[in-house]
Amino acid sequence: MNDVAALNPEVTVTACAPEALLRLDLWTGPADGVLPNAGHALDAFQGRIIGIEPAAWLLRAPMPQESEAGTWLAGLAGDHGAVIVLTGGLVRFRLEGARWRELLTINAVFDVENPAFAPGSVAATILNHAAIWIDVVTDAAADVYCLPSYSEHLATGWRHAISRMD
Amino acid sequence: MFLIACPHCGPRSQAEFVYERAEEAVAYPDGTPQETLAALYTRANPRDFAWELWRHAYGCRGWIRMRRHRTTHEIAEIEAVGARL
Amino acid sequence: MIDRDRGIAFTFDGRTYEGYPGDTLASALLAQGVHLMGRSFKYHRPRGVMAAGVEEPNALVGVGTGGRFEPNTRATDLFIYEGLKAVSQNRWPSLGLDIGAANSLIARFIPAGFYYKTFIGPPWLWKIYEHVIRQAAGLGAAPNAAEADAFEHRAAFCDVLVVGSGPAGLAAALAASEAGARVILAEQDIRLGGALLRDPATLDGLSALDWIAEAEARLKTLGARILTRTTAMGYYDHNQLTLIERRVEAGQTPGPGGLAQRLWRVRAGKVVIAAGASERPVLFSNNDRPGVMLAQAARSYRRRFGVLPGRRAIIATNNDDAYRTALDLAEAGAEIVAILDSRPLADSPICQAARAKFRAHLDARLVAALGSKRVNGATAVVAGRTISVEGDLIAVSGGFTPLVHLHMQAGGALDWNDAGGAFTPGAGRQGQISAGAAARREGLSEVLADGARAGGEAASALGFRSGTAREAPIAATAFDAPHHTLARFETAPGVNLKTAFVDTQNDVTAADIDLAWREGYRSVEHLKRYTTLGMATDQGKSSNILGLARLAAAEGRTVPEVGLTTFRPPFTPVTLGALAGEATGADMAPLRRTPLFSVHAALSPPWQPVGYWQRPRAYPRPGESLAAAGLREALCVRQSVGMTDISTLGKFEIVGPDAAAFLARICATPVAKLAVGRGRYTFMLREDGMVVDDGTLWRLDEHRYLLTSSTGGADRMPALLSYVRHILDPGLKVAFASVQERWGAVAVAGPGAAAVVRSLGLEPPAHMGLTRGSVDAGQVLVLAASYSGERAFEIYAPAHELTDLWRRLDTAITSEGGTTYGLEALELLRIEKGHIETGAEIDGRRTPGDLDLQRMLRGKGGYVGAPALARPALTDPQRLRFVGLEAVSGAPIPEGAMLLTKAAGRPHGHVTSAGLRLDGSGAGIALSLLKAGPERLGETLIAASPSRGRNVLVRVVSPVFHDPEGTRYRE
Repeated sequence: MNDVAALNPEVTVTACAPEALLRLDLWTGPADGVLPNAGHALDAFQGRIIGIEPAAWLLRAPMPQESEAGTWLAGLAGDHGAVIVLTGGLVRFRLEGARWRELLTINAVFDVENPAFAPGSVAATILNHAAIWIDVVTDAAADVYCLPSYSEHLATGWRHAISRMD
Repeated sequence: MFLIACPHCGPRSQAEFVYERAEEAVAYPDGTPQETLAALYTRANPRDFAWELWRHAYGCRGWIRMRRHRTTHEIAEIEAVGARL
Repeated sequence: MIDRDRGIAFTFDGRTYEGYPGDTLASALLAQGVHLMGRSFKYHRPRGVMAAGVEEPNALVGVGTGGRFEPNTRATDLFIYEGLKAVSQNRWPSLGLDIGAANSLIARFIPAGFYYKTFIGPPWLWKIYEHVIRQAAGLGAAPNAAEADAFEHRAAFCDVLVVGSGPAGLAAALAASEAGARVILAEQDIRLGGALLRDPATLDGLSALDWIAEAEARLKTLGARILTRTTAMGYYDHNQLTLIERRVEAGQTPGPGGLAQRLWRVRAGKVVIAAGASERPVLFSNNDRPGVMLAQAARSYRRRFGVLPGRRAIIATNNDDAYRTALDLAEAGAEIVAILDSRPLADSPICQAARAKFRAHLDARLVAALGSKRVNGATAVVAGRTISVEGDLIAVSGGFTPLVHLHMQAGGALDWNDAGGAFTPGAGRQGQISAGAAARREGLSEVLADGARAGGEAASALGFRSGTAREAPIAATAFDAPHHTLARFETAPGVNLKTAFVDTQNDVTAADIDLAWREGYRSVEHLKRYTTLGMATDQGKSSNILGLARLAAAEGRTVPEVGLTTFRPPFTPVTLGALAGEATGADMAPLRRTPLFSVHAALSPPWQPVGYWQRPRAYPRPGESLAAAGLREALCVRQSVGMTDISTLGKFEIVGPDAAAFLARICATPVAKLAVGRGRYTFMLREDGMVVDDGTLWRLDEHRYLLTSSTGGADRMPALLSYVRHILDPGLKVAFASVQERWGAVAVAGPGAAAVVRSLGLEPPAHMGLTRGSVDAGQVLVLAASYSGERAFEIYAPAHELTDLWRRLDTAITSEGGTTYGLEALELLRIEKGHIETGAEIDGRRTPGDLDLQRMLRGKGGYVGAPALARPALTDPQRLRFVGLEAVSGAPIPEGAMLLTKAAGRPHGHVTSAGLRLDGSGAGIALSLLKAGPERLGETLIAASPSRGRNVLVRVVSPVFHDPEGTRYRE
């Protein structure tokens, strides 16, 4: 899959190379202090741990570390949770530039331009028919995760949208 | 599109949710056949507030029960329900 | 507000004219002395421009060319640009000489609703009428080329949305922004200001234009989003509104990316509706002639566009505001021939000022306009006496209608103001607040104060408070007072009702309203539909109240008693492209791609849409038909080996101490005894006992399972899994996730399949067993399951490694003399094997018993659907049940055919899947649902397909045509 062309320096979209992805569910007990609350994300394990649901997290780590990451998460789970490997099951796009939020208002329903949606915030929502998760990394950068089957569709939509931006 | 205040995610567009069923339409697998048929096929549908189950399918994937007015669409109450509260 | 330094050339009806930036088509044409701009819908009467804004009913043009053509565009809502091409509508051969005008001669035969009466009489005659009426109907021509431009949908959020940027709207936006609220200001015009662009004023010591510019700058500094050329189209639930933003004018070539319009979905906390009020015309004979204009519009043309719409003006009014028109036009050099005021008294300062300069009559009402293609005078009745005056402009003001559309769409109520003859916004149900003229505030100071109050209230209701309460802007204007409207809807004596137009766009006259009432159409809903009052593209903005008042008078009731029809979006016409956004053509729906999409695409297979996915139907060789390719691929699988991409199938991983208990809810088959490393066929029911999907269940580990489903089920199953997890059995210690896209999968099937698997360095598991392994350092899962009926293996690899796996398999398959196969072959194989399929035999109305799955049901129950299976109706042996068919002659059996016992009987069932024997005979076989099917083996039926013109004699047989003992997939 190709990078979406950087037609506008104010917002670029890049598809990231495949990474290890693991899901942690906890069904009883308090979440470990290490884990972010739902709707938030933290750097962890040379990657990112994202609170995608009230009792579920997604860990994104470098591919060679998939096994280690699984062990680490299983430790957090103990016997009140479970780990499911999802590697290959999501594509990550990195959006960068001053206008990444504006790009994410197109065919969208989520208030991405709200200043309260600040770095460290995560939102699951729907964009252009596709389920996505938005992880605000810095003021000028955010990651968008989507299913691989929709990634080409989203990338094409973004390409067209960027070409229309004045 | 309604604005639905998800207890976990905050106010979100109805486009992120799926209306699942009226609350009284839940048929438990261990129920009697009579209970099952009543739940499946008997519906009051008043021109009034009523409780419904919605699922935040594109958000936190959680479930809520909502008290919504069937004609004005005013949402009076929302509560999280589900496996982990 | 016109830039005369730069000329803009445009054409109207083929003739070139020059206008200036800031001109609308209407103002530019008027400036060039063009007053005839259209022909009316039914009678083809000559029409000019009546208004200066979007309420314009007459001056409709088609603008642009090809895929950019927009019909029914109001000339008052179109800002000219270089190269604009506009044409008038509904006339032939020309505007000046229109043979349709002959309709006026037969007017008495074609009043409102005449076409309903054409149903009386013989049907053959009606077909002639219908053809003629259909040809004559419609105003503009539809474009005949595909849409050329792009449209975009955006989401926006704010605390306070202000609709309208006149004095009330600007004051509201400033107040809300100063208080710290997030504000969006939407203005349909090309510039901010509203009524301030029409009437001179000083605000906070500045000229109106300077004050507007400063307000705009201040709003931008405070972070407000200002959208011009943006109309609020509709008010929906929970304070969501749709706005349509024009990025270019109708027919104009867009900029980069081709973006013509944006549709904004705005969610607001509060909405200030400062949309203004629409001036009303007056009823008199020939009140539709070019030269009859709304009084405020005449002022707009003079002050904003620098055009005098006439040199000798007659003013007819029931309020003070039209006196301002007299003073304004006179200041620009026009002669005010007469002011005809229908009120008995008019002595406010402005009326006195005007009466000092011009001839003004009280108790005076117009009877008729004179002239045909342009007004040249009028007759009126003044205190009972008829007078005649000359003039080329009749400026009328019948009062003001607050624009309550958005308020009503938001579920608001209306109050009635009798003197004004107007509905005003009453109690609101959502977050709407009307302000300014939209709330029937009159006089600039009053309007500004009202706007500031509304904006401040909106902000403080949401918790925003300004540190220093902002004062409303201070206005200084010549006449700052209410209009003192005295509404009077009845026509003057002597008015010819047949030419007193109520709805000019649909040619509905006062006589038509009376006719409808006489014929018994007395409800406002009937009046609207029978006469088409208010149903044209202007949606009755200038006509609805006039029609209602006439109905009320006939009924002897008040207007509020008669009521109103429903206000529906859009406020002004919207092009379908804006509603569609990018979802057109190939982009109607997303194309979901498996990891192997480009590998398949390189072979250009015929594609089968499966939900949002596309799957190859087959891989035909050059010159090979689809059917032949499918048959060849299926035979290859039976005889040798084949491989196919099954990545789209649903896959779920379920893990936890209660995983088996959870699966016992989902699956109607036994679950608990499944050993680690083993799998089994399973199926899932809906709560009403119907089979909704089938698949396989594999035990990966003590507490870890993999559940597969059909492709369609992959989107349906997460809902069922979630429902069980959270609602039906929330206490379980279990987690699940869709791994549909984490694992890509390839099925390898055929006698040579085990050898292919071995050639990859993997040990083929026994039937319904699984193993883990690796291929080229990539981990894989191998599941021994067969859909085709041959020895088969589903090889799972992480999605990003699937392409490599496919290439390895392709090499191995080819060297075994095998082939890739697609859906056609897959279908032929599974049909011959008698495997049911979701979407075919599993059609959502079949119980496990119907599908011959009852032996696999878990006796203990406890699964979704179990209680419903006890219903007596579900055990009736006469239900449609799964059974096979073979063609008596061997001909192909039509899929979907009805099964009959005699040629014209009632169907006993239908063919669900049609296939062929793969034993070399190619004989037609099928799977079907037939009443009491399994009890009718050997019976002969007719498979009838009227749509294909085929009847095939078939015999009822077992559905398993191939390897009934199941020896093929055990080594």
